[in-house]
Amino acid sequence: MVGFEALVRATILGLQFGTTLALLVAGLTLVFGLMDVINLAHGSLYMLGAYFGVTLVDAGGSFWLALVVAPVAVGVVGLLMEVFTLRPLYGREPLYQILVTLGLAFVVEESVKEVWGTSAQNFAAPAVLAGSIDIAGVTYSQYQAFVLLFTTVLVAAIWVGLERTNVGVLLQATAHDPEMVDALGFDVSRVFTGVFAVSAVLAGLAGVLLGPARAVTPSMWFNVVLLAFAIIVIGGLGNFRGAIVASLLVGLLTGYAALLVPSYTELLVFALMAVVLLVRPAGIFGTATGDPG
Amino acid sequence: MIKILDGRDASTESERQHGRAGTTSRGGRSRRAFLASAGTTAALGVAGCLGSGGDTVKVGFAVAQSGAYTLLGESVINGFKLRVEEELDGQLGGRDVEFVSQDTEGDPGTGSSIAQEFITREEVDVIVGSISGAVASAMRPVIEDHVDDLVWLCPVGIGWQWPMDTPTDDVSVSCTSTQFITGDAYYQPSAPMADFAIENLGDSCVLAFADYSAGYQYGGLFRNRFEELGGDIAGEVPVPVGTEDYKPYLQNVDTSADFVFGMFAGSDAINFVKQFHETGLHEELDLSGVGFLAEADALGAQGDAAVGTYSALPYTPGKDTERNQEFVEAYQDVNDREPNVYACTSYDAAQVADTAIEEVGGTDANDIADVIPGIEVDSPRGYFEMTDSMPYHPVQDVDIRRVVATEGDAPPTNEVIDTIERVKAPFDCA
Amino acid sequence: MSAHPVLAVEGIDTYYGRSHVLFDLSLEVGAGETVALIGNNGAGKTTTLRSIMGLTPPERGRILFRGEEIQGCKPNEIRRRGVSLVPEDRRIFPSLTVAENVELAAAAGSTTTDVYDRFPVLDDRRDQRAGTLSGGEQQMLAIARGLVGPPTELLLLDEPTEGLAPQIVEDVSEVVEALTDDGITILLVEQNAELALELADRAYVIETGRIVHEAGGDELLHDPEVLETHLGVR
Ligand SMILES: Nc1ncnc2c1ncn2[C@@H]1O[C@H](COP(=O)(O)OP(=O)(O)OP(=O)(O)O)[C@@H](O)[C@H]1O
Ligand SMILES: [Mg+2]
Repeated sequence: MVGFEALVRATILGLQFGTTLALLVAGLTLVFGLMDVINLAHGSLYMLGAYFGVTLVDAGGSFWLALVVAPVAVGVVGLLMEVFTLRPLYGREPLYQILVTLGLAFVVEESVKEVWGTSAQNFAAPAVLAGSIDIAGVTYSQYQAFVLLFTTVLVAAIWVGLERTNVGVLLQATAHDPEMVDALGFDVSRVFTGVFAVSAVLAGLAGVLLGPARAVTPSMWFNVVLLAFAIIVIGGLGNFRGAIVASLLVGLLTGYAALLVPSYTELLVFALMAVVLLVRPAGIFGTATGDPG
Repeated sequence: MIKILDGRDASTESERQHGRAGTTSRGGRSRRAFLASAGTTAALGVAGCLGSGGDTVKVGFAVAQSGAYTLLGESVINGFKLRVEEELDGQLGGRDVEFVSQDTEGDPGTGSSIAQEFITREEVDVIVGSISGAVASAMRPVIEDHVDDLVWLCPVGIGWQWPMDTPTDDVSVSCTSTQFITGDAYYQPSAPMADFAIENLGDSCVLAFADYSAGYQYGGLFRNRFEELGGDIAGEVPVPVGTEDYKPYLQNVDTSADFVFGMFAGSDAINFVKQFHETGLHEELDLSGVGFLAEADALGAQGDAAVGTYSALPYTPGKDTERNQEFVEAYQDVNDREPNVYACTSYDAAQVADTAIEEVGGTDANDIADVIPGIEVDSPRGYFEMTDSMPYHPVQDVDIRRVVATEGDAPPTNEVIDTIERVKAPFDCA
Repeated sequence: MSAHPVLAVEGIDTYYGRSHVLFDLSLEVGAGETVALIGNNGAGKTTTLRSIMGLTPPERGRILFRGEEIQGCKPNEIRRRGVSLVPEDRRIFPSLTVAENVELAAAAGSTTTDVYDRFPVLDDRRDQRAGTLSGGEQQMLAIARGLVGPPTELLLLDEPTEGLAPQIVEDVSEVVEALTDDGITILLVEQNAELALELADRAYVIETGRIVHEAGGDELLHDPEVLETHLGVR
């Protein structure tokens, strides 16, 4: 029999897992919402964040330095990707972009193997956050609590920013009708490049934040892309709010399933995706127009 | 058909040594072999004519050289070659060695066609591989059809499966008369930990394992032994293979137990150990597990989170014996990295092949298979002997290791703190 | 009229993919003029405006804005030079509020967002989602959006009265007239020929991608042959 306390704990853990998922899908869903590009290289950008973190920390830089520098470096990689490989393909069938981004994912994987080798790498969480704290009966390392807080604030800031700021309004309009936005005097191709780079920064940030708790390996991108993709389908492709809510939903589902039926956790997540596709193909929060609000 | 065989029987001594089908009456097995080969006489005849010839031994590596198992595949090749090229003048049993290798990509289908090709086209005398158990399972039927043609050495993947929850004494596995395991037989990296734990860690254990057949198998062997010794499994925590975030699963660990036994490999082992530490569980329970939970390759990535983890494995790179130091140094000289357990078990596969070929004075698979059982090997892990009945595997000492921090920036390392002696897997052949 | 007309389209050919839509099309709009472009469904009116705006650039020919070639420029550059398009079907951003629609357009340039004087209906509905406005209100918003941002010298209006009730059509014409009075040059596409010719100083008639007539507004309006053959008006 599962007690009340266990359910509370599963809820907290699920929400916590959900926020890391939210950070992972935030950039992916922005890019899809604006540019109609399913970026299969998103996981690779996440992986690069972790590897840059490894190198920066190894080279004697602090974790905090890595937390700033690595995402920026990933952003630059994202920018180059967009300008040289995606930009020539806008307006073509989505298949081209899927193939190009998948190709990029493999290129990144092979490059990572060349540079860092095939075995797993590690970098440590900052020593200041080595202790642990208790929240509602769950023991967190201070680092984990920091990641939770950081991620929550960041995702909330993006959410609010999308709704309240001028840039957010521009992005919503671009998602709805990029041609019209261009005709109003905005260089939409720059907006695309910027959004792609920001999405890469977010992925890189996730890589640095989650790296210390995970195996940093050349294949770590794959599971991430798979799960992130399931989440943006559940939330409604390109729908930012939907993706965030779906992340928390999948987090909670994982938390409860891990408690009650651990062997079926993954199955349940993808079953949820299949059900959503069958019942509401536009996603739980999807609208016919696919605009990101 | 009879004629060809007769002819071969009458052939010169040197031809006999290299001809694959040139068996004489050597009891039951060769009679079976004779019957089995009756349908493929023509092919065998040709094989006899075109055999790799001269005094050479042909060794084929069927291991993953790309994907998740790349490092393991390389270790197997490097370990074997270290013995042959650096210590035996490029020979096995006094015969020159020719190597071929193919990448299984960790894929069973690819593995099975590589085995086929090694046997019929390359005509290898020895197959070394694979890494993955699933690939080994796929290779088994192919090799079984050719037990007279080659010897199968398994430093890593074995290709066994048995139903979950089978009591250890009832476990029966697929046996192939030419399969020789030089690594472990599922049993050694798991069950011996029970002997250590009941004495040192406590009698209440939570079993955490990767949710797939090997997870249940290794976990089950530990559980059976632990319960047999009077221990109690307080809870089971299966986690899907490839999970990135273990925290939702770790909530199921009953912290009133004494310790956790973990069965995870590769990046799962890294994620599990790191997050076990991150959630503070290490403050409440000891962590123990199968050997590869805290294997040399993983420790670098696990970092300090692994410190204090107990694991059981027949080989430990840091083992403080002269024989091992010698091996580690030689391996490092050639390959620029520390050997892992598979480098050692593959190095030993080369030792087994060398001794057997020497003793037989040829490469006849049946003859070799006859002499390997009971063979004693001076391994970097310590002396071991091959069982004299199927499934053939080492009866060996198992190290109980504890991860300790090292000074400076170097990753932590395993220290041998206890040894469970002469461990043999109590399995029957199906 | 200054040395250059505000807009000179010189012999453009425009394609959608491989289908040829505009054929050697030329037209001119002088400073302060309101010029109408009229023609049947599918004649190429919208395509002409899209070509000028850079949305569907011509493959041959030149487009001069104040004497400078713009046919190679991107839409956003053309907008910043002073050309503004109020597109067919309005294409406002329905999930944004009225104020957000206006502010967004204003953010592309330096002019004030103070268009509410001109469009009092919008003033009352600043915080309403644009998608919930009536057709007439949406049209007003589309025009307002075309007037803010970079200073507008040439306004391209694509069927501003399409689908509106007669009373609202009246309101829209008043707005257009007021814009003309303020010195804004207008190229107006209309199917409602009568209305177009009333508002315009001059008019071009387009048929299957070619200009087939050009005349003063009154002239066309009173030429029964033109009305009947080209515009189907009886
Ligand atoms: N995106 C497109 N792709 C291919 N052909 C198009 C496209 N848009 C328009 N056309 C074709 O180009 C021609 C001109 O279309 P256009 O929209 O310019 O006509 P129009 O005069 O504006 O008509 P309407 O009065 O119906 O708005 C038509 O034959 C139309 O079918
Ligand atoms: Mg039109």
